[in-house]
Amino acid sequence: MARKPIEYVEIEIDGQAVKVPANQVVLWSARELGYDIPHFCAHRWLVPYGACRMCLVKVEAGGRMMPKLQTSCSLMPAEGMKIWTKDPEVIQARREQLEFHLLNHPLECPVCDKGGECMLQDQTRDHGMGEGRFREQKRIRPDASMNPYIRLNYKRCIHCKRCVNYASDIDGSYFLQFVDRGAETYIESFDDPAAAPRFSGNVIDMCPVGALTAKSYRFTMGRPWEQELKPSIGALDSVGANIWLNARLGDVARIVPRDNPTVENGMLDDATRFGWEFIEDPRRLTRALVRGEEETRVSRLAGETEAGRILGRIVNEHGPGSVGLLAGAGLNTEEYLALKLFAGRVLNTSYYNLGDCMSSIEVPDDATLATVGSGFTTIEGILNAATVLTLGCDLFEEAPSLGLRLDIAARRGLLRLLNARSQQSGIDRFAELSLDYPFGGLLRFVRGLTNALTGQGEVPPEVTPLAERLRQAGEDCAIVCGDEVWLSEDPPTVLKALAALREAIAQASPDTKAVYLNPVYKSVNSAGALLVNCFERLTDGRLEGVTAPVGCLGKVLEAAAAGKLKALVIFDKDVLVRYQHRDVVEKALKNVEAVIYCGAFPNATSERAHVHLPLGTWAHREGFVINLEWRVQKRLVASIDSVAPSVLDVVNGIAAAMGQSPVAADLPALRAQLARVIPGLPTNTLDDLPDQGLPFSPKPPALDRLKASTDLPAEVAAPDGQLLLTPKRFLYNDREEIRFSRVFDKIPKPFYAFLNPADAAKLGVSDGEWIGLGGGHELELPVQLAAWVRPGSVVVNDYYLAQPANRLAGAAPAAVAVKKLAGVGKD
Amino acid sequence: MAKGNPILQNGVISEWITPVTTLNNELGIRSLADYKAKARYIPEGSPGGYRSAEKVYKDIDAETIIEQVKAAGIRGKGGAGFPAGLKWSFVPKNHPGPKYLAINADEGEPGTFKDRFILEDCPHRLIEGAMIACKAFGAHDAFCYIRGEFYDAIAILDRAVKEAYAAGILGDKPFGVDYPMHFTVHTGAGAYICGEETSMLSSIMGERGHPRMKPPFPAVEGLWRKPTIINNVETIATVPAVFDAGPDWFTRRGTEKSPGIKLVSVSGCVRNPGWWEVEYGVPISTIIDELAGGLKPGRKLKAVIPGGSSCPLLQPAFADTPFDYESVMKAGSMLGSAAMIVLDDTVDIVKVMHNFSHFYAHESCGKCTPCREGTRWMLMIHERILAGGGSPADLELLKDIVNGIEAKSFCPLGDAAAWPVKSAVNRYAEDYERYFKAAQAEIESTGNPLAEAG
Repeated sequence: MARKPIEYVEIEIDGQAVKVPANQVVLWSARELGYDIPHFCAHRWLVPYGACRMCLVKVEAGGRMMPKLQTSCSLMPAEGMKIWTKDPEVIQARREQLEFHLLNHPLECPVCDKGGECMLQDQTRDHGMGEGRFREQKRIRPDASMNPYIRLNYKRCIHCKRCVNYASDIDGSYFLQFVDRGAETYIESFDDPAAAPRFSGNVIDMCPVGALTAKSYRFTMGRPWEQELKPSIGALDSVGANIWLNARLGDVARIVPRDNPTVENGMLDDATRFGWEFIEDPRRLTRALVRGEEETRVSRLAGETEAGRILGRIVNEHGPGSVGLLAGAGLNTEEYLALKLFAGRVLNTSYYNLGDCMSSIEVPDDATLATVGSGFTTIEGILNAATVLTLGCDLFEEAPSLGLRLDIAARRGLLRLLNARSQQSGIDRFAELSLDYPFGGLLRFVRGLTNALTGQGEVPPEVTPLAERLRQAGEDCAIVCGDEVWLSEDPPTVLKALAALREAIAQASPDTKAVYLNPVYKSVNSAGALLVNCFERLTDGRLEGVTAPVGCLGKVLEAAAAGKLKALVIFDKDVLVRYQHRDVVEKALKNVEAVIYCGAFPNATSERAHVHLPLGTWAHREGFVINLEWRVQKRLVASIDSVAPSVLDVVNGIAAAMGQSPVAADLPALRAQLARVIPGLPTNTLDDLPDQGLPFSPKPPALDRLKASTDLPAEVAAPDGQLLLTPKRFLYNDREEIRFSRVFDKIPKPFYAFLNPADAAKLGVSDGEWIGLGGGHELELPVQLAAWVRPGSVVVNDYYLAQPANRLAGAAPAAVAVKKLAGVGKD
Repeated sequence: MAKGNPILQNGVISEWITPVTTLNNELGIRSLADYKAKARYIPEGSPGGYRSAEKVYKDIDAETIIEQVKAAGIRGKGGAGFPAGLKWSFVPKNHPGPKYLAINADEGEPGTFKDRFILEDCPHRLIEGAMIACKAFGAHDAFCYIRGEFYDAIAILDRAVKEAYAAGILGDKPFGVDYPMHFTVHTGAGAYICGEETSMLSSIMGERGHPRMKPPFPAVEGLWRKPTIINNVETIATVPAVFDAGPDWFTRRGTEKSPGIKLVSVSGCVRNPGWWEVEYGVPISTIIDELAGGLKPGRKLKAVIPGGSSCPLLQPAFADTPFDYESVMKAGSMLGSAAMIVLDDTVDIVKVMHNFSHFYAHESCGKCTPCREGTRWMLMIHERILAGGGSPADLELLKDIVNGIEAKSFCPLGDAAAWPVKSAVNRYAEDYERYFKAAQAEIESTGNPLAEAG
């Protein structure tokens, strides 16, 4: 990595000679070594602030005793420095400062939600004087709502300013600020009611007392020590944030970060943190739905029997290859193996596709697998790179914790951030350079940039400033790409172009020792799905009785649309809304004899299914998932009363109804089989897998040299009077974690047609007015003016069930006619 | 001639008092024309303002400027007394990009009223000093941060700056020399904390006026993270005289370690409160008796606060202490901003401390715990004592609170809140005890309600 090796200096703490990193303040070094220095305002994410005065230590530097006690949170070590943490003077100072902290703090620990995990409580026990001498009136002020998630109990606030510093220095939203002065200072929220909070929940963890608490946890969900904790993985993005699922008395109580410094560093986005109510939402399917003449609810067993009966008949009548199987990317890795075995041994088909990233027709070729399966780096590696180039992604929406960590690193000057994407994004604010191109123009941009670096082929002028900077990429460079790759017509082509760019940077920048390419995948286990889908070529693994897939998602759907497939089995994938070519899906769903859907909640696809089988949410199913750095991480079942089937349960149930033997006896057996099939996968049992996960290296096919095309596709432009339709992934959309968690009902979700103010002026529409998109007004959406939208584009949420973008998107890029809707007033 | 300053008008000048020196003769010189025609740098010098700046801009290089100021021994006159020339030499040499001068005119210390007169009565002297200081360390921009309540001073300085720009003194080519020089008047919004240098920088930058972590020191990373020198108004206004009269003029006056002259503002129980420019080393009693007209008849001196409300109280025994940094420090107080508050025997020290505590509780910025909580606590204890609810334990409690604030707060303003109370409870405990005895007597006269009930 680009960082210089850490230098150590020798200092003395309480008479003990110790070596500490020269670039880290004494507080953290001493605490790592086991010296108990109390603190409130210092936090490992924040720059030293020195306000609480709890971490005072006695210091001798340069042979001279410093006249005052020093705050160790701001004290950089120097060779030969001497620190005293247990000197009577220091202990006295701590008592004094703690007494000040407690003056106005109410004595309500027994009813405070923070009690049991409260820094003030712990430090008072360890360092306090045990009695209060304050006889005057305590400071009071009513509680206040900070945003839809967070409530401030003002009386408990000890003014450490962690939350305010977080809002200004870390998430940069400035949603919390101080008002008034001195002892009357209080925290006020300046949250924009029209904007959905993205990283606000982290202040709840940071608050050292019970002042900022989660509305969904406070008073109702028990005390910290009553919680049963299960390690799990945030399900909303491919970073795989490490979380603790807290449950009490059989109910999920909250999600808190599990603080894996190498993955998400404790920084959760609000959708992950507060999105747990769906796990036990009454709208979750617990029995099967069978749609014949009418819709009937039957037991899960009866549903599986019905599904088995239908599939058995079709396989018998039409022979091998008559059933197609599709699966979303939120399942566990071993469940993909169960599905692969189910397809091969039970359904006898090679028309299957696991996962969501490669929405192309053909199975990714060797060059594509080599691109994603090698040459990537870890999340730490991205953050430690000298230069990071993000291409075709909005990380704040697609991988919020990675986006935030990059944002902080760029703000602190630890790396150079370069950006190119179709719309402005939040991460641009500290980027050295941000370029945009029309949506759908990623391939043209990447190839043009490559040509500029290699000096071959056509070079569009807009890439030149970026190419110049990439020629001095520094010691190492990481390319992070995202959703625009997966939304493109043929993701493998774009990936191969990116691989060529990687090589071009390595050659054009003489100092650069390594260039990495890390795709941000669409879902939590996209990598695991891809691994199992293509394990024949991504690893040395072989398995009897299964065949490699004949094609990708598009191939399966087209076969179904063409009448070649007689039934579709879909696991947890709203393919009707998610696949760009809605007409193909419509045709496929119409032309097959039966659609069997298996998923926890109803969605657009499940409503077309003849049988909808229940499935547990991710909190109900144990297993392991693989994130964007190919880290294998486990998620365990929450300690909750409700039980729900895993994918293995469902496929075994269907197999039994078809008179076939189960695909695997149980999940451990499946896992053991997977470990045999894919050597190097560190998952013989979940117990062996450490909580913080283990890295895994796929073995993609070796390639001598990538033959990269230098041809530039035509420039994308909408004809006059039309706008370029840009489906964009937002953190808040209609996925089930958000749609079925009531906490998000209060959040303003981005279900708008986002227009650049210039375009809106041309159309004569303003905020809140409705427009129709497409010739037949296929999409009708309220307008929100947004300066971040590239002129000539209209941005819509890519997953909005009421107005699905793929009614129009079709083959991206799509230009659409836009018309103001009369009669539909402001809402 | 000093307005309302009968003693000087009457010519009663002690051998210790420097006769109307660098500033007093310029009172009321607000316009550029007057300043150029009438202002003298030293009393015996010839009139003509902006002479020093012109000389400096045309003939003197940066290093020589710093050397001269160092030779004159000019110490920071805002309170800490740090040598100005030395401070300027801390700016990193060859630093790329801008550097700034920030002039602290947030004169908020209770008892201090010296900078205001400079701003109001000879604003051009400040501009001239700022120009010289900027050239000394390579800055082209000076900011003057004026306390928000100084409505007149803001308008007067603003007008003076406009005049200087119009005359080509400020701007791209001062005196025809290719050294662009800009001067910005920036007002505060009435916060004591913004007189603390790093808070002032935050406030100028539009942030909340909270003190910042040092290091990095402002001379390395100040305004907009660029090297910034912060000087008091009086310090900057003293600089032009160095280049007219020469450093010797300063070193001949004052004491060895505190050479030169200082403005003192005297208030409290004196017959003739006002401000004067004196040499360092004048005995405190001389300032009180000969300049400020002495105490009212029949009164006895009870306490002197030599440097503004943040300094410890001195007992009458120290009245003859020479008025320079070292001697006042040795006596157990500080020279501070030389704002002498004189208290006679009619004054109740508890009420004074209640007043001070109220000020500091109201003005604490709230950043660090000891100052935020300690000042409020001290205020509440004083309120309770005055309301008749005190007990001897409060004296110990006040001492403990003071210990918790002193040297443990984030910025020096915590010390400022603690020191007067510390000196009061230690040196004037009898004033507190009077309240405790009264409270005890009250209880005894009404009897113990619990005992009666029993």
